[in-house]
Amino acid sequence: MLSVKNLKASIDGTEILKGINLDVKAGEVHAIMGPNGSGKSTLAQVIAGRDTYEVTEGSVTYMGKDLLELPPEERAREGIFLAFQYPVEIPGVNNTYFLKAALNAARKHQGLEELDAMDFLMLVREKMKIIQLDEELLHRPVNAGFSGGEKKRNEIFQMAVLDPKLAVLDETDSGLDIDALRTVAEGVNSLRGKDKAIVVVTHYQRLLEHIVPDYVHVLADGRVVRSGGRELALELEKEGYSWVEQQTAGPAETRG
Amino acid sequence: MSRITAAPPAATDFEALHLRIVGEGPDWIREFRTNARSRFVLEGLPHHRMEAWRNTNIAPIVAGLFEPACSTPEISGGGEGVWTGRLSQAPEKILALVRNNLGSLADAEGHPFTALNGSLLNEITLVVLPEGCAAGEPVTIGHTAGPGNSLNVPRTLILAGERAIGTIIETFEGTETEGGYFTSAVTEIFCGKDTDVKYCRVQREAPGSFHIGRVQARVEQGGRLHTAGIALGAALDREDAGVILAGEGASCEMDGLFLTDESRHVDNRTRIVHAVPNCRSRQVYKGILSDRSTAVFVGRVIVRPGAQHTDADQSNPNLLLSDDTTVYTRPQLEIYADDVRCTHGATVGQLDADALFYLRSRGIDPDEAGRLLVKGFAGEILDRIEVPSLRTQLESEVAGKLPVTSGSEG
Repeated sequence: MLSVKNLKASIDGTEILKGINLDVKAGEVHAIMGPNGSGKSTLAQVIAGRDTYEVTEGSVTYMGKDLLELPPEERAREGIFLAFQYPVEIPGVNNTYFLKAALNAARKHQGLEELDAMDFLMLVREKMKIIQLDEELLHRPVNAGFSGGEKKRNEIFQMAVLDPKLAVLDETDSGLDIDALRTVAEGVNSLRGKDKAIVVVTHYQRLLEHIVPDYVHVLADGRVVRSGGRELALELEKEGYSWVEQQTAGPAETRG
Repeated sequence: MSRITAAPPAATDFEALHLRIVGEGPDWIREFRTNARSRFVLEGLPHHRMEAWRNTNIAPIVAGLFEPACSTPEISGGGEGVWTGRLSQAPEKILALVRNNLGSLADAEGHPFTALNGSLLNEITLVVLPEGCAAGEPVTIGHTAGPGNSLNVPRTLILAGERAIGTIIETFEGTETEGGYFTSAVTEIFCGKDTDVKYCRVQREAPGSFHIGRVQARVEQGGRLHTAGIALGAALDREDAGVILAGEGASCEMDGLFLTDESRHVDNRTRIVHAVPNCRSRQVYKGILSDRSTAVFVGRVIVRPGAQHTDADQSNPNLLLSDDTTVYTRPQLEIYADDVRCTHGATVGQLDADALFYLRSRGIDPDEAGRLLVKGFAGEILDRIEVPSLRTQLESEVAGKLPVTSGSEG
């Protein structure tokens, strides 16, 4: 489904991704772990199409398409979803209106009929139950005045409504208490499927207790330094990231 | 520094225009016009070396050749108990109110265009909400400017007695698509004790026209006033809005939204006077600028000596949709009391790149994302307009005026 080859990306001339390789197949859940500044979030943003990062080398192929050729809105319509680490507050733009516009843009692109207000509302109600999102938040502007936990929940709620093929969760666990974490994880698990894939970007192991990955990759200094099964996450939890950094080949410099 | 000069000679002899209508109407109104004319002669036309006119060049008005036109306001709504009408239709009881109050809020001193309005005064729009009256429906006042070279002087007086509740919508427009005309409007609003008055002013003059507007209000003890000034049209627009909080517990909320494009210019001046303790004021004026347009916001809050426990907020966020726009924003706080809470803030920015990317990452077109963000920005003001039909209409007018943004730069 997703194939990242020797991906290098930089921001303002500073190279952050230094040759990433990653293969994600349909039905799989991959976890990307690593210390702060290792390039995890950059990778997530580059997949979603953020143009503040310049891709200098390598390729990203998604469902047979050259992903780097597509603007962010087309990636979304093709089924890619990024749950933001810091969801953006958009005052004055109604949450429901926004989500309906997003869903119908994707449906139109996929040759499906656009949902009318009634059908959309039914879909929204159904998904809200899964995420346990307060209905009141639907009528508020997008993320405006939401608590940290509500914002993260709203991301997963959007994911549930948009039903992506490839979901990238960027530090969705940060800022969540244990109950909220469990709800969010249950929401994510309910969206797993044979034809779908999930990439979970996280600093900590704890989210992976709830969203169990098939593969774990460890990023350090812009490269994948270890890949393995779920036991790798446990190992990291025990040993800490310094253990990985010591093992990192190349210059000893680490990004803070 | 440059030498101080007076305004250049005007193409229109504004002083002489007064003589054409000086003889019309009852004695007191003739006297009102004559006094206003004296004030206008004293003030003269403003020029950009004057602090209050520093950022607004009225040369196009000075160069124009104008003919005074009669005001023909359309007045409707209000419902039971509300008296609305023109001066020419007013019974003696109402006339007495007009005589006692007209011009007492909108002092012409330092306001040459208020003096000009007074010197050419012909018709007055009157809204009287008697004591205890709750207007069943909004009062709508529509001013339509005369032909291309007309000088229009709409004048409105709103009187709300104790505990009166009402909404007044005043609109300014022109049928002349080319514009060229000049409107100098003055509205005075008296809010008695414990009143709840909402006033919405919509300026949608023709593109090439000139609009100079003044709104002056006074709120007595426990009264509440909400004003919304929406400026959508005219080549040159200057709007002065002033509120005096005159009785304890009085409050005012002033909202403003101005949209400018092409080479249009909008100059907003607000002046809130906290004359007594325990009053609250809140102002939010938002600007959306595109093309080569310019805008000014000067917001002054004056806290008089002894006006303790004043609570005043002011903000002026501006959204610049092109690199060639200019906005001048100056908050001015004059505080003569020591136990007060006053805040002010102004921001000038472009569409938020993070917000644009967020919307696009959900599948929304860059243009649509830009429009959503601008609509959202304006929505914070429009959402506070409580008349649904007006709010809906303004939302679509604002959306229709928004440029196609270059959101693809995201």
